[in-house]
Amino acid sequence: MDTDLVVRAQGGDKDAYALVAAEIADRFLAVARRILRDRDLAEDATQQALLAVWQDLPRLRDPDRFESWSYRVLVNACYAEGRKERRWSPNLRILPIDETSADRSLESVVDRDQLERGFRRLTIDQRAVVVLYHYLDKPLDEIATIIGIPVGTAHSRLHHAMRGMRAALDADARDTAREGIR
Amino acid sequence: MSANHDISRVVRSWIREEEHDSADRVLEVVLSRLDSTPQRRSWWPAWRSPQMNRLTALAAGAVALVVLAVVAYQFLPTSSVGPPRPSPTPVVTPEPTETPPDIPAAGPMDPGRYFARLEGVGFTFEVPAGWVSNGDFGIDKAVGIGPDGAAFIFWIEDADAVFTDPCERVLGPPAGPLAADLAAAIAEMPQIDLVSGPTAVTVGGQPAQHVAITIPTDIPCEPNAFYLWGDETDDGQARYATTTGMTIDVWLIDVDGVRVQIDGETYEGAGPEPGEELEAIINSIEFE
Repeated sequence: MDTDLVVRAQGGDKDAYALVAAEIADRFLAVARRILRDRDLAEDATQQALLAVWQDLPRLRDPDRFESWSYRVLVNACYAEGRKERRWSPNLRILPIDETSADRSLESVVDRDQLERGFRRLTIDQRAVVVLYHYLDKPLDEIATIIGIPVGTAHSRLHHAMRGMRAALDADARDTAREGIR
Repeated sequence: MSANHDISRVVRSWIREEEHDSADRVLEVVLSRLDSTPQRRSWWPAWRSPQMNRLTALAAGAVALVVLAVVAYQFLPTSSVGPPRPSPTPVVTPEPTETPPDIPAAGPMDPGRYFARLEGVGFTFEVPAGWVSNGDFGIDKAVGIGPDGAAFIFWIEDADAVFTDPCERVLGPPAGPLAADLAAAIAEMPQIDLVSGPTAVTVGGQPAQHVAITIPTDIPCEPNAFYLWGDETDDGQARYATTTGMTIDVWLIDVDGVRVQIDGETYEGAGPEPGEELEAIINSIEFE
């Protein structure tokens, strides 16, 4: 990101912000969509985040940190949209991991639908860490800064997210196997 | 290959699958709204509403206005305030001669009496010289965050609960409907320092609770990730810390069975004057 553009936008230059927003909008939407798993919610989160970035840009002390800061704004917008989603979502619970099947090769048994179902069972907090880590390739210390949590908490959320995914996929596989026996 | 490594590789591959996400439509909406979306300057207090559209709508319906009293500032009390500020004493203010104006959109405010409506309850209050509106939910001293600064947040809809784990955004159960219920919950919040209260006071002649807290300098997350209280059940508004070392005065007023919440804040190193200004504004409140 061009720091000069950020500085100009901080000073209220709307043309500069238009260029900044154009550069980050697609990536914002991609991240929001992966966290929220819903196109409409992701568009709402992206819109709110882009407006919030504009509104709060004067409060960013170090323009060089724009990227991390703007992702924080986006993640917060995703939390907000996720809260809406939760109002009508069933109260899903992560199933306990089944160690007996933990060493199977996953690629042979997992399809996209299973991954989708498993991912939706994660909390928004966990999804955010997974997306920042696996999609944006952010290191955990930067993720901690973006989300505003201790590094240890970021580690923990990623660990529990992966554990939850594994447990959900195993549960899915067991159900499929059970249906096959009948 | 370990199971964890295995699942990480699968998830990583799946989440990076190519999906073209064009944000053109969103971008168009955002750019069309920049003119009507003022930037927030760094001295504005900390309140986050996840549903910004809703907040804007709430703000639009939040006030009605009056012009008054350049002289009001002369009536402000000069006594020291200090953190515990019970029993507000009514301040002598000129009688309004016309309908007070709403809090204006973002920008400087003329000294005088203004009108606000919180939780459907209308009231007027006196603003001294040197204050600005942040456009939608409060007023601030124009000097910004620092020892001489101060700010108010007007909760158009009051908070329902406090965060039981401020850095992890864990909102506790609803505190109960009375001013005393929420005041007690605030006083018992983890990771804050209680300065005073809850204390029974009166505001605008109505029974109220006052509680004052400070945000420690060693909180385990950034101030803007340190959540204090919020409204989960309605529109998801949440209050977070503006900065560490700050003092937050919360007034919870029972007005005919409706709880009205006003937060005031001063900053580390503040002398008595910012607190006195907060108290003077609170003391000037008159309910409809």
